[in-house]
Amino acid sequence: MSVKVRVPSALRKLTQGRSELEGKGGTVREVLDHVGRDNPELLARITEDGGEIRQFLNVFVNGTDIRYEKDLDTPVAEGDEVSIVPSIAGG
Amino acid sequence: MIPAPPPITGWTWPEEVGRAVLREVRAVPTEEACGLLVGVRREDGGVVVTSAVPAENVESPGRRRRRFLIDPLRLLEVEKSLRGGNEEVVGFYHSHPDGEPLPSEVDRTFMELWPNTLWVIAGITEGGELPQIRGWSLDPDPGEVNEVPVAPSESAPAARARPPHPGVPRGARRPHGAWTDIESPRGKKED
Repeated sequence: MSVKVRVPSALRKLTQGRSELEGKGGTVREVLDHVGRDNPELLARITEDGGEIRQFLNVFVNGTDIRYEKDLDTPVAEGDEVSIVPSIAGG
Repeated sequence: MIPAPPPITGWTWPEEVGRAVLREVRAVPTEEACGLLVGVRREDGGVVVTSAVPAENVESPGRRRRRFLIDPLRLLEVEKSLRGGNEEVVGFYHSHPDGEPLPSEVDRTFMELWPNTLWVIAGITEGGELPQIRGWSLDPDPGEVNEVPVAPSESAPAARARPPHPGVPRGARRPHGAWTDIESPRGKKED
């Protein structure tokens, strides 16, 4: 299952400048693990050591926040788009 | 491939974009206004903002005077609309209804998530004068927040008009990352 992973400009230093990666897997976790093989710093920015998504980091599948689905176990299908978006907030 | 952003050395925006942001800030004097900055990054590290895209402050109503939160879906919408062009989201703006245009500790916490990204802050000080605007960016190496000077641009593209923010539907779930979700923000005080 081939899935696009979109990375915001602020994190492209962790992907050798690439804004779009191709991941393979049947769940978000598998896809992120796959792209993390070549981009370990990106994976470390997304997930905690225990494998869960970091606080203030949002992951969407086709525009749906995976926290409202099955988190990292959210299934993905061929052609889906996974987007990574750090929280935009302040005071 | 879009290269990873270098440290920002200067920024500018067309007068009409600045005026639009000021109008928006003054329209909600008791809440933090916020939005996205679209533009281009030059090879020399200069950022030319071409348009400002307002975003709804989706923080809980009682906290909007001292906090802002942008729905990440808004960013995805804007980025999608920019695909295929040379513009990108180069930063964010927000207002401080009760203070100087300086990054608060909360701002700095979230700037760490957005290195080499322009953060424009409009500060409204007591007396109700025109908001003061300053730009900031976090350089991840060595991890410092620096003021970014306004630099005139010789090649600033024309500003583009953008449709108003459609808003967040009533009943929509608030995005994760709201300040109220923070239990202990790295030991930093709320500011």
